Amino acid sequence: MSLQKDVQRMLLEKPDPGRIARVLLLVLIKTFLTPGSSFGTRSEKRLSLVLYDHARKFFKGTAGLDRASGFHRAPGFHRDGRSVFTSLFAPTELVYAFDFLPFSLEILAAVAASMELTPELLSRAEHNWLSTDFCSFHRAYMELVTAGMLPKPSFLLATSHTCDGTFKSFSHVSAHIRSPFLLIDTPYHNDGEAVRYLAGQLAEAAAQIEEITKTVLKKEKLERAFHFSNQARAALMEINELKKSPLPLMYGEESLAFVLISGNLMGSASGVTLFESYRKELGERLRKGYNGIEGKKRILWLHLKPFFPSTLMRYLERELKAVVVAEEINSVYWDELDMNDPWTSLARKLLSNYWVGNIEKRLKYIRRTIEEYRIDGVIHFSHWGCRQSNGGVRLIKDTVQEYGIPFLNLDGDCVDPRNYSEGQYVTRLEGFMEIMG
Amino acid sequence: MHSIQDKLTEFFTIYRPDTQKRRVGFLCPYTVEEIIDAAGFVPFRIIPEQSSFDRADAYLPTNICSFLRQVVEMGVGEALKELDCIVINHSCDAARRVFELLDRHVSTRIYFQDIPRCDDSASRTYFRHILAGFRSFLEDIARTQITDEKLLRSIKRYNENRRLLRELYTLRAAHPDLVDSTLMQRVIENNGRNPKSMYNRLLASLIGELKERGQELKEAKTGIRIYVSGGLIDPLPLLGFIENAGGLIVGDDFCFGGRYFAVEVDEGNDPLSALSRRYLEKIPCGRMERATERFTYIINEIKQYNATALIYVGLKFCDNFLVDYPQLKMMLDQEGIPSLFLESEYSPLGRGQLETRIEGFLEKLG
Amino acid sequence: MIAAGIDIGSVSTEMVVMKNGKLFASCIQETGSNSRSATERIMERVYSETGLSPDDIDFIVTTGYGRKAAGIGKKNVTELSCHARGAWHLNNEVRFVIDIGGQDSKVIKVSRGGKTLDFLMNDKCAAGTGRFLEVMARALEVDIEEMGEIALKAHGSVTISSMCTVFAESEVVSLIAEGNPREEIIRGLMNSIASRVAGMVHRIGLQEPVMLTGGVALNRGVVKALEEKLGTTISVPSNPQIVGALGAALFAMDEQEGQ
Repeated sequence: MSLQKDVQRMLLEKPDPGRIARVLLLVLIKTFLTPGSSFGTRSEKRLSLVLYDHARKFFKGTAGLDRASGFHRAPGFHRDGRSVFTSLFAPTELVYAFDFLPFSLEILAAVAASMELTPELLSRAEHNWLSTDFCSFHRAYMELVTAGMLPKPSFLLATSHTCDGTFKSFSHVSAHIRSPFLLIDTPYHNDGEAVRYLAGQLAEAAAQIEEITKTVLKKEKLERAFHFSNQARAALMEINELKKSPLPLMYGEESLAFVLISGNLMGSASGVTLFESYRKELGERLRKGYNGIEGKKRILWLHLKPFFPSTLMRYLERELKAVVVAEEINSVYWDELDMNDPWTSLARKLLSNYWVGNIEKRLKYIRRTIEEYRIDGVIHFSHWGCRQSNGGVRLIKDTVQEYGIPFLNLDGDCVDPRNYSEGQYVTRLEGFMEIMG
Repeated sequence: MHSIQDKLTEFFTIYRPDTQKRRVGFLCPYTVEEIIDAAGFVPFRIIPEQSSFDRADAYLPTNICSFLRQVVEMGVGEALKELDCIVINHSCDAARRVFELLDRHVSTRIYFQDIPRCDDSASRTYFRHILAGFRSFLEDIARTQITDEKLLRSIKRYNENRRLLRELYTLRAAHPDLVDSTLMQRVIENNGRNPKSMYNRLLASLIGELKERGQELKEAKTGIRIYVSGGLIDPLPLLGFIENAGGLIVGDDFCFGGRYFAVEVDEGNDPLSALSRRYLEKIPCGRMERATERFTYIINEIKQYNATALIYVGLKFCDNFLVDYPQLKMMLDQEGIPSLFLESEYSPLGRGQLETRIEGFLEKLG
Repeated sequence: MIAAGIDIGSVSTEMVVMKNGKLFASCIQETGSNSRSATERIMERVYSETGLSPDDIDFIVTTGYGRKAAGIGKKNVTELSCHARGAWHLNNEVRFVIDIGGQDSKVIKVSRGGKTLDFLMNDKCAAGTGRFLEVMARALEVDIEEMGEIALKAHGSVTISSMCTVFAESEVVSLIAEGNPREEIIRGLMNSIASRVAGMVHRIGLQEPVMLTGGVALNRGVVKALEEKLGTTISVPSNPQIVGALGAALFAMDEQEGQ
């Protein structure tokens, strides 16, 4: 969603979280009034509305009465913010259980990119000693924070996976704004001891949150958050099942945005409503024999996509008709959460993530998906600076080529539009199409 | 009168190590060497010396640090064949990926040692569990039990090594011209490649020799006292440049330098727990939760050794070290300590940029 | 039957005309700043030199950086496939094509049938391209055409450590100032390019035999350095710059036969 230049300027020159909240209200209204036909699916419009509303509340710093989630303000609740900065794979269920509002800083960077704010943000970050070799997600949100554009959160909650950069940037941000940082260190292995260790950390984090927020974690709230998370998970699994259909039901460009839901809304009612909305809509499309998307080739997409306005995905899917039917980031890699042993259950979820530990999990996912989705080609988007993902490209390539299908490594950046030109994408994508035949 | 370098060479001849021992290669000081030593192996630091990456390019993208790329280059080029085994730690994301690549593409056995980032009692318990696994792995290869007694003996040897290095570092701060960077680099590199039983004797002799010479020195050479901070820097011509430009290196917190020996292991019962505790407690690197605590350590050292300024060096693409600088700079600014930030490749070549920046910085100070 | 291929690169534009399956004419020109006018200019030149007129040509395929902006040609194919096809036409044993152009370089693995199996492109960084040589030729004050021969005369070489062209240039300037023999520096530069390119080769896996195309292939110093790095002999066609356009012309012939 592109904003007018004067709004952008206002956001960048006079940063004030409250003001940003008001701007987001305008964005919300604009999105609401935009006809549904401008979006890929009806659900996409809904996703945009929910996301902007979530952001608006976040910037105001209070959760307020969130009708969608059903979480009421606790009586005697003071006006200190209820915002929590989280990392992309942090257990947001825990945050929702405290009636707090999480927002993944990586997603904030993606939203800033979609609003075309990142060229300015990143060039400022460079002035502040941040090397351009460092992932632009981290740089963008570090700048957002240090420029005073975000509300002061009650605390920050991050897991050590995705990557080293998460820990470094959260550490830096927390020191800057003087807000406590709770780090969950995800071990490499997942034997019994590792699970116990991680579960212990989660329990400890809950205790620390109780201390910071001066509240007690109520079992029924955690249960509710788990329930919502499990429902959202079930809906996402069904969506993934539906996407196996011979005719593509939606574009990958749109489904890659699911990360906005799974990153921010797991444990809330809106997360459930959104995934169920998509499930229903895709189910309808399947039943009615939807053929609105002409796909010549079926693609598996690894990692993320550019979040700034870019023609890459459109060119791939609509021009070249190579449709992304499966995305790694949307895979349901974890089992249902279990209230009988909540911390162990959450720990197992974290440890099952493909980006944790050995790359073998990721390779297994790739093999399974190539077979189940009848994939014609695999694309890995190598986001600049993402060493944990890009470092695996060789092994991923070898795995894909076991199936005799082509693999394309696409160098790019999800958040920084300054270094990449469309022309370079076009040739590589066309070359890839030429190989697929 | 022999130069100190010649004397050191002499010591190497006298204290010749037992070359029959099997070697276990490692990269990072969070590898618990005592366990390797207790198994009867020599922990052997892999210090890459090449500067081409032709083969590594087939396995790793270009935006991974040149140290690890050279390790991969060596691995796939069969240069690590003579090692019995290689241990790679969870030092960073790239190290994790390098482990997987080498595991599949290199014939040498490779072991992955995870490290908790945090330092609390749960982490120590977990790390002890990891170390127990490491011990079992080595027992298999060594075909011998690694008893607590053996471990304790190794711990004692390593603590002695740490004490000796600390003494050497104190000597250097007092006589940075006598214990210059060439000498120190040589000592440090060899410290990582020889059994401690032998090397401790060499270090003791060297320290004795240096003390004698130190007493004979009429006056200390003048120069700008510099503290250097960073991670892995072995081939970098950095320290030589600083000295050529009129600097005196009085201290460092390198992975295998200052931070290597700073904290000892408790010599009580349950050596595995003692090891777990010490390795998590030691002055941390950029990857650990306590990363920024090392800034306090650095500033204390700067004051203790009377350094005038700090030079910070990070390897290109090394997030764990590069992202720390802004915070360190803030603290240094508050203390009124000038600093220089350098980014470099893990290579002895590419002099131009380093040299110019260092000269410019020292000129400003002098 | 007359088919033509036009390769509009960022630095140079080539055109190849095939008549009844045989190479009839070829031409190389500077692209300048505009793909469309580059195309028009080269067509004009070819027509005037061969006596052909636009109507004589049955099918044109464009390729290269400016293939879409060219404004003519019923079809465009990436330079990847065109180089593969063109190289394979010249020698159907070829399994690997390395193209080092003025501003980009690419490596292409080719199937037995001349189709692209895998590829890697470098169009972001001057290192490993003709641009690198240009910059260095200026720094050394030699003619770029002579660099290859000078390199071959050197007995040793100086290692250039910098991966980046800008830093390498200042490194070269220092090396000159330190009195290093010019031919050894140039030999070192050849090794730098070869290193960069070899990295790309290994990333997709070398398959022999190898052919080198593009303007830089005329530089025997680069060829030798590459052969040494890759440990294989490399064939260079007599006119390495037109291989892309040749491939495009062959694709044009396919289209014509299809019609």
